[in-house]
Amino acid sequence: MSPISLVFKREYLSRVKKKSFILVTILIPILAIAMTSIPAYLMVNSESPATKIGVLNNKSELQHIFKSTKDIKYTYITEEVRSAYLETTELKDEYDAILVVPEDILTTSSAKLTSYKLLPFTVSENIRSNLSGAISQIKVDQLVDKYNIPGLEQEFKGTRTRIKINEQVVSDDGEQKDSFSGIASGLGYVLGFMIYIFIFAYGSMIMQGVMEEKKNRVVEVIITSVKPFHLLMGKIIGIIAVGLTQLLIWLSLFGIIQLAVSTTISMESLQINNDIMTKIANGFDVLNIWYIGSLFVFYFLGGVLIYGSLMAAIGAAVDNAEDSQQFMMPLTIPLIISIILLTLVMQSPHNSVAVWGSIIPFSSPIIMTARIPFGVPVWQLITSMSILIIFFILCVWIAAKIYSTGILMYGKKINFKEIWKWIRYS
Amino acid sequence: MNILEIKDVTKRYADHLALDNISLTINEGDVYGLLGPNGAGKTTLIRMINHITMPDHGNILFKGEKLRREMIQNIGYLPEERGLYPKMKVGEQAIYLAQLKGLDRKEALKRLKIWFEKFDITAWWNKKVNELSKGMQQKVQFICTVIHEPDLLILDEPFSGFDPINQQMLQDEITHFKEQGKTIIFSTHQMHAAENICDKMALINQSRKVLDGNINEIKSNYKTNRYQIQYRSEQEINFSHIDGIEVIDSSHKEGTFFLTVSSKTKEKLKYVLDEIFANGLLMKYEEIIPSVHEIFIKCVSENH
Repeated sequence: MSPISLVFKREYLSRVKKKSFILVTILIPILAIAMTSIPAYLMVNSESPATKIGVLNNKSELQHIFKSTKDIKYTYITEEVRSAYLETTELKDEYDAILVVPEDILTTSSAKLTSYKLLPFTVSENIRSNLSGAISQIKVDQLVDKYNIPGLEQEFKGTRTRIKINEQVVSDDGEQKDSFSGIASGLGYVLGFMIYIFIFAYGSMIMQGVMEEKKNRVVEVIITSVKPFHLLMGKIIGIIAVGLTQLLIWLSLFGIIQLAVSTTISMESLQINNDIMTKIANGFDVLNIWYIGSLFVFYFLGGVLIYGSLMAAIGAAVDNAEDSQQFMMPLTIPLIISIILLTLVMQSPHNSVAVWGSIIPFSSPIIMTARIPFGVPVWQLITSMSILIIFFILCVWIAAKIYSTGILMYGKKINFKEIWKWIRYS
Repeated sequence: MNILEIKDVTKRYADHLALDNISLTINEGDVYGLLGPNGAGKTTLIRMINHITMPDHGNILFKGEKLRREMIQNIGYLPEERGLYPKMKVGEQAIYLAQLKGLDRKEALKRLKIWFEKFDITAWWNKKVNELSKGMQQKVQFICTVIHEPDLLILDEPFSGFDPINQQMLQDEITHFKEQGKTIIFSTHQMHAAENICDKMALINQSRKVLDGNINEIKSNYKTNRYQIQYRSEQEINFSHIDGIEVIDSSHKEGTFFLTVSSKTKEKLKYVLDEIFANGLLMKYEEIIPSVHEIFIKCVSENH
């Protein structure tokens, strides 16, 4: 076996076999599922008692317009009950609120809802829509009676319009597809954020590894059998393979869970609006998982290689973790700026900030990945990817120079000027 | 035949000269001491022999050919600053390092078994390195240095961190290697340690070679023709009538006299001894041979 593959094998196996790796790989999806599904489950299954509304109806035309639902229970009451409710607290538990529909509601267009405590916002919304509908109907009936035109009632019915927005995007080849901007931005944000986390997690894993080798002086021994560049690349590629393994495990877990859910639980039992579910499912179809997935892997590789190699260089240059702080700054700042930009980009994924952010190689792994679900022009993708590749080669080249000098240098206070010297003279 | 030839090697780092025009020849089978104080340039030179850094000028020849990367597989290097992966298991680690030296897994396993038994550390095979004592780790590291049976062994301060028992063990191994005809470069700043082990040596100070050659020859070159004499007598014997003899130092304690004399020739010294035989009892007579340490100090101060 060549030295670089031996290094790769050691770096990869020693990490994948660790208990902490197995634990993190299993725990993160469980946490993610818990964090998203528990609130949803609670929302769907919480059995809050129905709000009890006492209705005092003074308008004779408006009989029985209030139909009780799962959440609101309407009871018709008399004037005595109403005054008792308001003057004593005896009926406080009997009714959550008292609704008075005045006789002159047709002219005032207002009703009065009195309660001892704040009501859920759905209650007044329900009452309003009930009343509005009934009163409109009364008004329509009055008009129909007044003008006595045949078919007028039908005409009025025809004016009731519900507007539905059908979003569509036109792709370059002129094909029209349904767009799902909500899903796109949700997915974009998650992907961008994942790249950010991966860069930090695996970048610092690489740095830790380099610092450990330098601190333990193992590197002195290893370096006689392996060229520094091979050692560096073996390490970086090994750790990236750890990341890809983790991704692969998560993807298959996701697949298994999806399969299990779809075969064992029907949509109705989940009590989730079928409309939304089909919309999400269709949305994923349109978004082309394979296209997004392969670009995600590309930018994951690019990002971790760039930041990872530079972090390895830092790890090699310093003697201990404290000294690494000042050198980490120039690397953490673009990452943090990217994550701040991410929120802006999600709101308008095609403005100039988004475009530049996805071309500049320091931020492109995060910003471009997040933009992909929205559809990115091909020229931007090609530009961004080629710049990323060129920049990655440059970073590895610089990192290798710093690494080979730094890894064998001890006890010297390192600053940027010193590192510049290494790059120039080695 | 020489195994290693260093020709006019110069290495300059950004702000200082690490090696200044150094030339050395090391023959096959030599135990060669590379001596000098800390920071003299020994480690830089060793790193060049290991192809870790390159000379700015000059050449390094290994077995008569210009040193190439792949030749390093024929060198075993025990660096001064030793280390192993602390969380890796001992056996796994030894296999890894042996594989990096070009052995296949099977062969590595076979050889390691023999070495581990020899050093009595087989029980530690599945232990993590950080559970081992410092001395144990040194043993493991030494095994990893020689596992690929190199022709040239470079030991940088090999005795530091070893207890006396392990030091002896290491010394025995070095002797054993020498018997097999292997070449050993032994870098240290502890002159007396080198004196016992090495046949040849080079002194390096402030990036320059101060002197090199066979240790015994160097020592006789630095002889000052002084002798230490110890005798018992009723009273002090007078040597002032002997020409060419100078008494540099004398003292006595309870009838025993201690002398340091300087003599240009052996013949003149004979008169001194005759005088002692006639008037007292000779107890000790010895030529003062300078230690490597003394030679080194002398060279360094002359250089300034």
